Amino acid sequence: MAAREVTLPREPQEKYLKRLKSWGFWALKGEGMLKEVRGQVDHVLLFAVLAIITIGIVFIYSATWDPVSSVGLRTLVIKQMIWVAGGLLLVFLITNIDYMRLVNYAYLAYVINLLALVFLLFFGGERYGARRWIDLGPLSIQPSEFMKVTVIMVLAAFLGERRENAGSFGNFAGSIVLIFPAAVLIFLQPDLGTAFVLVPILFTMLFICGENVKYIVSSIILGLASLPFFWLLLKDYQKDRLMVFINPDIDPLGAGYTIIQSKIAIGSGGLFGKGWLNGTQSHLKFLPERHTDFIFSVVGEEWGFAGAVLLVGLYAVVIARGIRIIAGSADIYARALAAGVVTLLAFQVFVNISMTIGMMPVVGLPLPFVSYGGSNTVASLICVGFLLSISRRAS
Amino acid sequence: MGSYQHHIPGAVIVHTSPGLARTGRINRGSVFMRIKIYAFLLAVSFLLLIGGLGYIQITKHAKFKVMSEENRLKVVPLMAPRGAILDRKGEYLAKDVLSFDLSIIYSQVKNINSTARAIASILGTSEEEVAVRIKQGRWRPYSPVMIAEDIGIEKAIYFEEISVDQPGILIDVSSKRKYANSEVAANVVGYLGLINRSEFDRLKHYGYRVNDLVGRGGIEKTYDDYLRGTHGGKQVEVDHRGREIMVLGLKEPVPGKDLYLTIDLELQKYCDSILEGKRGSILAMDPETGAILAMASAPSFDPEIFIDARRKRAEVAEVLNDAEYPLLNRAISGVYPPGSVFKTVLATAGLETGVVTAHTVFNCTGSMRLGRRAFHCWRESGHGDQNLEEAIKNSCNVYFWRLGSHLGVDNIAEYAGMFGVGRATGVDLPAEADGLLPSREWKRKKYDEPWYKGETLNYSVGQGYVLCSPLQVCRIMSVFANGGYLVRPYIAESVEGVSLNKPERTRLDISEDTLEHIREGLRKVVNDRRGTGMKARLSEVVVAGKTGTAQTSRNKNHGWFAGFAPFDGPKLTIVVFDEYGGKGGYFAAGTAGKIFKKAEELGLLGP
Repeated sequence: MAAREVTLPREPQEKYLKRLKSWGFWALKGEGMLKEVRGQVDHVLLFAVLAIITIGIVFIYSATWDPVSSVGLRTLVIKQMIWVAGGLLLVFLITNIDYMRLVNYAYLAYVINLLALVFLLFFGGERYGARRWIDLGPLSIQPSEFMKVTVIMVLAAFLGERRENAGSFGNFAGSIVLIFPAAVLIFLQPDLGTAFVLVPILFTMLFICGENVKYIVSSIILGLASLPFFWLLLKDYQKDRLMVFINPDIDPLGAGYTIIQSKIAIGSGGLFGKGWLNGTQSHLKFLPERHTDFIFSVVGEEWGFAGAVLLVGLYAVVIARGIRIIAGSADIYARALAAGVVTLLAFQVFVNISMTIGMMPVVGLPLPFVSYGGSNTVASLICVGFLLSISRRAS
Repeated sequence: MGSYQHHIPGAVIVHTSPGLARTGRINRGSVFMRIKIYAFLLAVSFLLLIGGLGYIQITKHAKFKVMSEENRLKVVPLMAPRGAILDRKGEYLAKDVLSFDLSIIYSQVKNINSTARAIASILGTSEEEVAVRIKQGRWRPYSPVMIAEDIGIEKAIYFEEISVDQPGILIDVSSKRKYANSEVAANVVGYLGLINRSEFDRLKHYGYRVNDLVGRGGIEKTYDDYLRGTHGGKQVEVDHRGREIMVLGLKEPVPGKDLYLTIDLELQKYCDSILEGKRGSILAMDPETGAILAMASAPSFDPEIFIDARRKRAEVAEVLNDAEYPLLNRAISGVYPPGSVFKTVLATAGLETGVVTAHTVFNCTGSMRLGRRAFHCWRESGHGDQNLEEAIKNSCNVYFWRLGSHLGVDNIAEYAGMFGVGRATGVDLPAEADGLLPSREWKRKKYDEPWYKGETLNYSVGQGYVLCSPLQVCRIMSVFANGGYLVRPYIAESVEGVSLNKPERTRLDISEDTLEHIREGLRKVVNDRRGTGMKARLSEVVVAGKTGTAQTSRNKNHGWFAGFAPFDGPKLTIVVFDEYGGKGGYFAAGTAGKIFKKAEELGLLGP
């Protein structure tokens, strides 16, 4: 791999250390690791993410708050804070490591992640009818969440190595073959949403890396045409969800329940919401999964349109900075990587919020940085780490 | 979004970037165009999100706000138990009992198999069956799905205990109508059914609800107002499972009132058991007051099948479509020719109009000619000279034909009308039939034909057009038991100590002498050596009565027996009607005898 040949111009040590101090990381200053750096860490991106994470913790607190037992800080909030802390540490580390070092390990990471998914398939404990978690004592890890990031890394490595063939059918077909086992393993868990998120990631990365548009467009058309066949592969509950999306009133107490309750929560929030901890929909537990996939409904109910737009706006800032970083990437590896993580974050935000307001079928995708969940939080923060790392090494 | 151009002027990068080696052979300009397209798509999707949020949070806010309130505030109906229906001694015929039903909430079940195993072991059913039922809850994972109904309190307690380890198990307690003795008195007590649309529209102002059960027949229907309580309700703040968080308002339900009947359950059961497997009806009435002590109609039905239409729909259909009409209360809604029992009416008319005296004798040769037709007495050899008492005792047709032809149709119709033929008795049960009182005018209106003499002969012996319900026959017989009063029969005695029916009786214009002669005839029917009602005779008490055989268009006749006892100071009038059962003298009289005997044992015939 070509990565190590490159040397970036040195940045004056003092300037770098000053910035490091301005971050508040006094203890860590490993110089050797940092010497290639010349660009600026994107502070706007970082602060937008920190703001979203704060909102997330505030609303996990609200979503798990029980007005009957009136127990205050819940264990889930503390757990989430621990995950966030771990994730931020990773952000710092990745920011300060050249992304190429990580891309060099992409294939290894991918194979390990695939093995984890295979392990799950046979030995995973079942929860809510799916085998998604590896239990490690008090913590449990969801390998499919990390697989999203791993797939982005391995595609970046693949497209980067074959940059001379950019736009070729070989790159197109090779990428699909490359991520196919990941998609299948996640689909078998079953986790339709996570398997599906790999599709826009793949197409965006190919597109940004100069893939011939006719391959992308024709495969999208082919994909749509094969939906009826795909329908046959779906589990009953997944079919229910799609049917209910078309008409939630089919079964208001069953599969349509969540969509209806979520819309009621968000809609009843109005312009300024019912106030934090005052959401009746969520606190009286009409809304299932309200601290994970449906946490946005709590935000919409308690903070109203104003709060919802604030949160969406913060995501827009993250995405806009992400696009800026894609454009400013020093090389094709960085550009592919950045395009992948931006798509991952943007797609999850879009799908998650759309489903809470009934614009899309319910698929199990978390809201990045806000939904409760360790693996997802850490994986999303790794994405942020990549973006910051790339931004620092912008050309 | 989209301000990257200022920071990354592409041309500069190409010349200065040492990372060129890693950028490949892609054209810079084309890459930026692609990034622009990508940024545009993302911008559009975020604008869609904001638009969608605005749509539900601003445009549709009012609607969802109401829905959210409705979600949160619930009026939990507190159903008022229905009043019990009791017999004269306080034995219950119908009452509300607590029913414990087992449900599951699918979304709370941790492990379907272990939950199914636990449930199956307590219910004693198959595990697979229970698992299948639980899985049906997948369609409505947040609301309870019924697994088993009316499991009894012991099992309910077990389930409450294991629900700690097996979340999702729920025991619902509801009130359910129980009918004490299954098919006993079903036609008297009646049954309940779900209120229908038109009834609801009519009754909603009286506090009925859509899911209410209303009386559909018998006492349940007539006295629905008393039996039905007033539902209360609780306005509560609830969570998603409907669990109460806080009670905001409470209206206590008012239970329905208990209703005491004039029925004697022991006698009633006995009457029902006698009729088992037959078609017909039995009535036992206090001739002085009109209080009905037993009213049986066969075939009968189980009133409980109507309450739970979901589980027993097939049984309901079976009852409704049964060719023998078990829902027809034959004692009040079935009308039949009264046959020879009607001869008592003729006898009264004869004596009262002076057409005959008690000593007037008609000779029975076994037949009587009218024009070119011969009418045959049931005894072909003839009864010889018959006076009124003997004619009653022997049920001699020739005597009554002659008497009838002397009286004429107008007199007969007048006296039959006086005895209440052709109009409902006014008993406090729904769907009572009027019967039919034929007369010259009636025939002209109905058939536009004159009245023929042959029809008068038929009329005289209770055949032809005349139709009576067994209850009307019972009332006619009671006139001779109580000394000339036409009573209004009733079944409901009291509610909360207040009488529902005061005995109502009308003194008929019949002389003591007339009554005495007919009573004597009736006594002889049962007690004379060759009386037609000998089978009703008892050694302990003197029974009087009249048998009847009503010809039908089929080859089998209806059998009647109507009588009273004790002869001096009667306490009970009994009518046995045996549909297509043949001659009255056999089953009907014999049955009446058994019932009198049973009544005597129960102390219903006085000290």
